[in-house]
Amino acid sequence: MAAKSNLNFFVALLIILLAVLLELRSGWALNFSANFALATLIVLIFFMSFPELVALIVIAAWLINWQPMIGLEIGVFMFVPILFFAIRRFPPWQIWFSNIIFIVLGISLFYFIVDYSFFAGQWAMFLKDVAISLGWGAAIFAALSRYYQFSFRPPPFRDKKHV
Amino acid sequence: MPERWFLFIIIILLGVLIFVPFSSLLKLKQFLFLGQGTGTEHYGDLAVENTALKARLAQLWVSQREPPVQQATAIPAFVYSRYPFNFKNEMLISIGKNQGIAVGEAAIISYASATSSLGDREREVVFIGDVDKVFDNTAAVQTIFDSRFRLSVRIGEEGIESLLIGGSEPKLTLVPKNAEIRKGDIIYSAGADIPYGLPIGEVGEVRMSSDNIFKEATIIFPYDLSDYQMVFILKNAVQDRPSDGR
Repeated sequence: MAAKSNLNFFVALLIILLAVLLELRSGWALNFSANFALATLIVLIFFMSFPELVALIVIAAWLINWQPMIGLEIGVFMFVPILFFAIRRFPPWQIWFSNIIFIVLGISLFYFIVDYSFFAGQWAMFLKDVAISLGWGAAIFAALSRYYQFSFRPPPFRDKKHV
Repeated sequence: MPERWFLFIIIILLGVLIFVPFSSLLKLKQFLFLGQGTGTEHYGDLAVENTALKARLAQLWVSQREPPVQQATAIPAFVYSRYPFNFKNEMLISIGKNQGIAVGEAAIISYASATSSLGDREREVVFIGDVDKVFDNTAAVQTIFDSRFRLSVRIGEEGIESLLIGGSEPKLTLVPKNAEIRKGDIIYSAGADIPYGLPIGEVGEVRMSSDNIFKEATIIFPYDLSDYQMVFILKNAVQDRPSDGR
């Protein structure tokens, strides 16, 4: 049981590493960076306990942070998943739908807080980011749902009402 | 319970990482995520060399009207990391305040000229941005692909004035309506705080602005910035130009 729990954390850690890698590589190669890591962290709020989520957020933030000080972007990046973790039980619909809504809201909130003028100036890039992040987040959610279906340990937030 | 220990160890490790010098961590991250690029030695990059040669030719034309460009000292720096989101286009480099770097200094990429002799290999340069923020041992370079970037430039042998506006697709703006600019004309720096005559790129497609008062043009860049893991910062390179700028 305990070994399975650690495995779950490692699986989440690997997914985060992959998301960060994708985010950085796409930014350097294409001059466009989708929010793979933020979308992944939002998905993980449905599957991880709070300490696990915080550990993953800190690891992802450390990997993505690019300068000696913590900028506004990194602060918002860390804040958004924690905010959604706190309110994840409130929406009345099923969690797959909450996942979609949270990813769209999370990316929008990230852009709005960091630089709201981005919406007006480069809305096409914003929509592209939302679309790619949503696709990635939905795929990760589907994969993790399937993984937990065969796991000994149900995810922390998975009850009869929502599943 | 073992899971709690596992998380405890992770948090301790992260705590230790905070106290490790930032530059060491950056080198680790660079190793993990930046990979081995092509570096600064682009011997066969004829497109970049062509741009530099065109800029040199334009400088020769312009130098008949202006004093020569002051010699600059180029300080090499490794690219540690790049801004990971879409709001900016910046890179963190391995030199900072302690190495004498100041805000506003020009950043260039450099390569060995393929046409010069091996014994006396010349180095060509292309302007890529300027220093935006300086830390103790690192600095952030804002590239011309940043949407906030603005720079006065000149075009071709005639030295036609224009304003370069940065972004994912930088463009030339405020080109006089009657100015004759053609695809392939060289673009070089003419900003107040940037060394004069640094090649930037070539003119792409030319069109009229939306208000029909000026011309605009796209820019063709002869390099891929993601290939470069080393840049150079130019020190003390700004010359005193005539007040009329021509």
